[in-house]
Amino acid sequence: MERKAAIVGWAQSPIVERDERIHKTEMIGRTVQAALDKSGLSIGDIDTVISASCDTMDGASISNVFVVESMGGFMKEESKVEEDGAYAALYAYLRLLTGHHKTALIVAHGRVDTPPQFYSWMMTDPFLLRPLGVEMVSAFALQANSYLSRYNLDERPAAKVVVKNRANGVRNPNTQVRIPISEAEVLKSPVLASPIKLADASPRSEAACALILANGDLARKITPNPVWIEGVGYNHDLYYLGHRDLARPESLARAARMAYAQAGIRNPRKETDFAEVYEPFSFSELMICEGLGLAEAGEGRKLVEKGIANLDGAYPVNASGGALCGNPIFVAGLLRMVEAARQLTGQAGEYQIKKDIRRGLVHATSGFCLQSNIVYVLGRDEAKPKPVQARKQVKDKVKKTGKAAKKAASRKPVRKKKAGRK
Amino acid sequence: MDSNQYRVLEGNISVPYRWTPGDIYGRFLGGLKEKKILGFRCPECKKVYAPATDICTACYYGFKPEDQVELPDAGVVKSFTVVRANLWPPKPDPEVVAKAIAPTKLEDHPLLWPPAPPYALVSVKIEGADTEFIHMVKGERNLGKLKVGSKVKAVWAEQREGYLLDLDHFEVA
Repeated sequence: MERKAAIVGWAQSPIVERDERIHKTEMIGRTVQAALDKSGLSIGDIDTVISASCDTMDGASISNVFVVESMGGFMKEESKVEEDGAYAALYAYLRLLTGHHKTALIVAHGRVDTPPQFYSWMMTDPFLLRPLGVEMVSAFALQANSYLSRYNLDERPAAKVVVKNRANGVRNPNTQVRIPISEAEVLKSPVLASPIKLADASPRSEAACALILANGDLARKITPNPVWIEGVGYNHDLYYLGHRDLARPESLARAARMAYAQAGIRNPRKETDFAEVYEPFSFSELMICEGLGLAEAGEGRKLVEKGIANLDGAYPVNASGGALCGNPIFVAGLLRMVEAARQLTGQAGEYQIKKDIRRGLVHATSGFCLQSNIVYVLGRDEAKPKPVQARKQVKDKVKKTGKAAKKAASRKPVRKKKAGRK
Repeated sequence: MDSNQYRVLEGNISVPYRWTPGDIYGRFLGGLKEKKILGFRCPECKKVYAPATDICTACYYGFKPEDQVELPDAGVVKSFTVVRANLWPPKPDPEVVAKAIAPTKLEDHPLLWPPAPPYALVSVKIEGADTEFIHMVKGERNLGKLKVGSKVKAVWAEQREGYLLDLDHFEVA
């Protein structure tokens, strides 16, 4: 089992539909500062910063260049991914594994500066898909129908996914849609692109999220409750929708197998306790659970029909409410890591899973129709989570050497601590 | 800060591009101009790709012009979605759109903006091909009959220029 690096801190801005009172840099800066405060670190303690943001949504080439100040990436080894923040976390994790860095900050921001349809339309190639107006909703709808017809299913299991996630979302103060919904209401909601109805789709959302990773020795000094990366797997399928099997995403199964091999897992349903998955649409969650091996192919419905995936079920899926309650683009996958960390450290409040949990799965996806997938196995120490002590600076615990030590010691935090967001 | 004390900037990014399809995609698109659906057969695994792709994804074989095969302009629907809601903001000034997102040669193409609903996106297995072709089915009569397993036939545009929408849509046979 890999236990070379751990999540030691995190923060998010509450997910909202749109906030025009704030600059994206402010949103990012406050979130990063909150994550540093939570872990008792200052920006000088961070060795490398990896961000995730979307050039099309921001309307800027290399959209990280003008947010490096607010995310504390200046005068550091900074880089970005043009994918979900969960992939930025992979990049950061791999940097820690090289031994060149001991701490990494991952920052993702997603703002609806342009309608998300444009962003996803621009993800298509100009020759074969763009002339057809293919974007997220219609592409995932085509996939949903492939899935339903392959396994001869109707739309009710997906409606049950919405009911479950929306019920969980009511308990999550950081999510956007906090209104429960009934199965009948889901089935009656207006059709966007069959079989996807309005209630099957995630909302338009904005948020920023920051996560701090530290390597093994340091992680224990920073927090009494490190959340270990026990395994990570990632895989990428073909681009063109007609050249791959939409009903059963192969890249997801491969990503899961890779993560399980690292974590020494043979039966994920028995050897892990819960999952946080990135489901852009209700139908996706069924397919993702199957791809993760939590259910047989075509039988993901059993998880919702039998209440297994409920908050109080035997294997909760998206206890946070998932992306169906808030889907900030390029942030939603990283938020799944944060939500899993909250669960494993007993900090999920109203939506804390009651049964004893030690290990959870995190899934995130990128591209059309689950083209690219990443799966993490996250685990806590065997002992029960320890109560979180009063936040204090742990600079003295972070041993630096030579010039870096002097530099870090002399550098003041870039921001004064702000009052809590309202 | 009160949000009416400053201006929220609105903008359109108009960036011209010229995208070239190259040899293999170019042959496929050129075939559409001649009302033909061309596939590419991998000499190693015999898999037939329609639409075109540069490489056989099973063998990582790079297709050559001689791998081209002519296929019927008909096939079977493997999946579809009927788009009912208008997912798009209103179509802006055509000049702005043409400059922003489309090849300049196609400035006055009716589908510079995504098609207006209702229409269906379909995944069609062309007869003789091993892959599926993503395209459209249009017209309420066709949409009403559309099922997984429906046989469909190409409806060709009057004016063709070596572009995907030379094949205007598929109709349900």
